[in-house]
Amino acid sequence: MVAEDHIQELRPLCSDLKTTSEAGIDYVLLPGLKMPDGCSPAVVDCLLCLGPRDGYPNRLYFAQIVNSRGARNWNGQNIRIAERNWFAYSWRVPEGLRPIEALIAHLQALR
Amino acid sequence: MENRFSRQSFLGPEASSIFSECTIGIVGLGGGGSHIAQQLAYLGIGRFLLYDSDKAEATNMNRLIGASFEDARQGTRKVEIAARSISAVNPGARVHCYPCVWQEAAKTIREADVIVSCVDSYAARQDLEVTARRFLIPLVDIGMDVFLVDNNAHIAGQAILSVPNGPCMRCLGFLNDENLRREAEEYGAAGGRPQVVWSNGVLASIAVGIVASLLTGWNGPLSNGEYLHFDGNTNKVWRSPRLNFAPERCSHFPEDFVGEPAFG
Amino acid sequence: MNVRLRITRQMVERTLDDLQRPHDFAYERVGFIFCKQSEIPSGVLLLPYRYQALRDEQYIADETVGARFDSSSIREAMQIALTDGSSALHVHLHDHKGIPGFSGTDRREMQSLMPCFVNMRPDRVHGALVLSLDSAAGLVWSTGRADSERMRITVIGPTMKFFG
Repeated sequence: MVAEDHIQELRPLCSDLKTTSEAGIDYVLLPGLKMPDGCSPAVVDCLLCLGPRDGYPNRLYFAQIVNSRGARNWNGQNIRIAERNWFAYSWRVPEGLRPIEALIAHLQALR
Repeated sequence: MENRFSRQSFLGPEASSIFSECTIGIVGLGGGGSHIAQQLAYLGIGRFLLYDSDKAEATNMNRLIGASFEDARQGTRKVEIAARSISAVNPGARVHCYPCVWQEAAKTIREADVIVSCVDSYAARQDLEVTARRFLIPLVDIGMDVFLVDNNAHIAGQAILSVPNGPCMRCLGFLNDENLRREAEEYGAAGGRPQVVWSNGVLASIAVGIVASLLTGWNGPLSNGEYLHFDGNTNKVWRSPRLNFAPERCSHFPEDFVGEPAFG
Repeated sequence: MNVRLRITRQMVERTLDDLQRPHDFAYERVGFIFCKQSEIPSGVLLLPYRYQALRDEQYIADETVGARFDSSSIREAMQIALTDGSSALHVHLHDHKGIPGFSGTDRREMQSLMPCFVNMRPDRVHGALVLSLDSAAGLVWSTGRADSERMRITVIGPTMKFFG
């Protein structure tokens, strides 16, 4: 279960956020998350995974592949979580960060 | 063809009608899945959902059941090859081909009474099992690998039955963070995985046997799950000792983990 | 509409355990099974997640029927279905082996009860399940249909069972 104060920290970035859990891992759904400047599309549904999964301590999933200034290796394609398909790039963010810190660190890869 | 299933009447008087009314989803129609599709057709399964985005190519021709030289030359889709194998044995079977990864046709797999998983990664297995658990579908998974130890090749494989509420692949220790981490690190490493037809055949046959037992109970009730190891060097199959330590009820998928996800 | 119920063997056993308990005056017990409803290409899939037993005090003495239950039990069941957004299945037991059938009384009672659930939550099917010691049968009601339809039932376990 994600701590409520950690969730509240994310709300300025996404007021419609929701949480869910699947196979013991917590996720935060971030509908219509604004991407860094220069990205296309500019707004994408995202899913922040707060636990170890697929070999990453945490990970940010996207509803579609995002074109960005920095080319990324989208090594996660059609990953099925919470009955949707997600895409993710290879980018390692240390564990132990608060959700807001992890989210910002993941989005940094698209700058 | 009235006597078609007379030789398998020991499976029970209802077996033929159970098989004919059953829907089996097969994810991955490569070396393992192609065997399974053909065998299930012989068993009398009446409806198939086939998922694979790949096409036949030369490197498949040491093991892709039902594929011809021409299929490899033309790049025939693997689901179409499997569909052809099924129809040749049982023209009455209804076969739905999804020439894509199963996730791109995810709602259709909910119709399966049993899912047979012949995918080639731990990550793919993880996702497929989550869906199977959400929609209360028993999952039979097979896989094989060839390991080089001191320049000697060792063939190893597994067949796992994951039944909703029973131990899942994580409970059985087959899926774990270490395997997934290592797999993610090796992503993109060059070369296809070694595969041979006879090991695939052994594992495929075990999977079909599990499906037959699951559907008919001919062999008495299965335990609440199954985990079999296959040693392709000694040709031995044995039950994993992990079954002795697996919880009776799964701790990763609680009983209310069904249906569409709940968001809070 | 094609309605399929997939229910685990554990939930069936838990339900049977409750329905087989004796009651001071009711001849039989009843309960509710709540299901998540999902779409499948051919229709609707019901996936049970909760069994709700009726409390002893919710039964009303009536020798003309096997079990009569009070309005609080129906209100509670409707509240759960509304809050959870789920399908409700009334369930009772015919204490024999073999395929159970809905009696005339069963059908009349359900025909009057189930439309209340459908009206409350018309985006869900609701229905009735009758278990025997080794079999099951089910009917569902949905919006826009005056009459019930049969549902196909699969019991999920180390041996699967198919009914309907």
